[in-house]
Amino acid sequence: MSFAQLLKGIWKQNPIFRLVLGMCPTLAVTTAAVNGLAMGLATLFVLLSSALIVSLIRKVIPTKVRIPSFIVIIATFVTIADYILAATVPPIHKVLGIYVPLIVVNCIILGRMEAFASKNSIGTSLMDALGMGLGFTLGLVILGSVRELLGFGTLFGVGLLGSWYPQMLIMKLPTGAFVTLGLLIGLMNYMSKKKTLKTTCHDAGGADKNG
Amino acid sequence: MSETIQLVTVLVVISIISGVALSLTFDATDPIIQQNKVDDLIKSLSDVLAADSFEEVDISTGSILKVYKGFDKEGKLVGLVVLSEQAGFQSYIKILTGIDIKSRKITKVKVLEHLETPGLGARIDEDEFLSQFQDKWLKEEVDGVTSATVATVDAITGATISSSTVIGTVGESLEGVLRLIKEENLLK
Repeated sequence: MSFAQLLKGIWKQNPIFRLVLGMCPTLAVTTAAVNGLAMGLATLFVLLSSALIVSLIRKVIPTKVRIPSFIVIIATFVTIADYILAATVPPIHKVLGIYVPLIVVNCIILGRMEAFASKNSIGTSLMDALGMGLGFTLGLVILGSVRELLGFGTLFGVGLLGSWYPQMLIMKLPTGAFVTLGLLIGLMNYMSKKKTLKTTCHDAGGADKNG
Repeated sequence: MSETIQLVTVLVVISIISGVALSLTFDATDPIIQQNKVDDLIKSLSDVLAADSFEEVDISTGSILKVYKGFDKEGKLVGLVVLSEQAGFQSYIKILTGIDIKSRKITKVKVLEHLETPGLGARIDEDEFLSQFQDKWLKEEVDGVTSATVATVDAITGATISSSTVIGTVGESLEGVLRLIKEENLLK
């Protein structure tokens, strides 16, 4: 049961490819895989801690002030994450810049609090947050890897393609982020559609292949 | 009425708890963050000028934000580092210029901060461009310096504005330092 909550965030309801939430950091920080990873982990931290607190005190918070309460809780953890990043990994903190404070308004987090953590038990909420956070991180890393490989010829800073590789400027710019994201979402839709078609065919005994 | 009190109480309690949590985190991380900043600055200063210690001089004119004096082991002044800032193509560009006092040459130029276009203007922080400044003469004629520097440094293709901002800023830093040496006895 809880395990399904974890998995749904990674594939079925992936925040980036399925729910299409949190697009601002997704498009902005994914110039390199390591940036995507750091952003994803920071978001994961905020999601987990906020989900823990929100599900813990969900019965105490009156419905009328739930949104401001969530925002204060989320903002607190975002600021903590910001300080910790600045203290431990200054170079990455510098690259992520304004996008760390912007996690506060990331729809994934408020969305999960409102739709899930405020209505479910601690264990289930944590699983949901972990799944969503991992799904978000995975999406950012994939996007960052594709852009870094095509744009710089490297992956996680390691030069995979030699100096002969003509770096694709477009991949370093926002345009590259939109194009990559679009293609990845398309790919995911194609894969899910194929899967659905197969099951349908199987269920229908292979009668309707065009369905 | 009692509902209002309940709403207010909940929000106040949440805010107080988050305030305490934040100040604890701040206390724990702030010294490290400040230390990181200082280390960063010293590392950048040492990058452009080979000196053992640096001292900040409280001067700012025009594009010059700060001037640092560099000393060797015996405490002798070996050079100056100028921190200057000017608007580039889409962001402010912060530049460090190291100047050797004895030879009157630029030791090195380093771009500290910028948000220029990746792949084009962002290449101003690459050595291929910045190494051109090395060993440029710091001439006594105030006007001669700018033109001399601009004339002999090649701009980056596709990033004329970012490049010329760097070139112009370095030129202005040199001019400013020459003027300061004359007017304020910076070398004393």
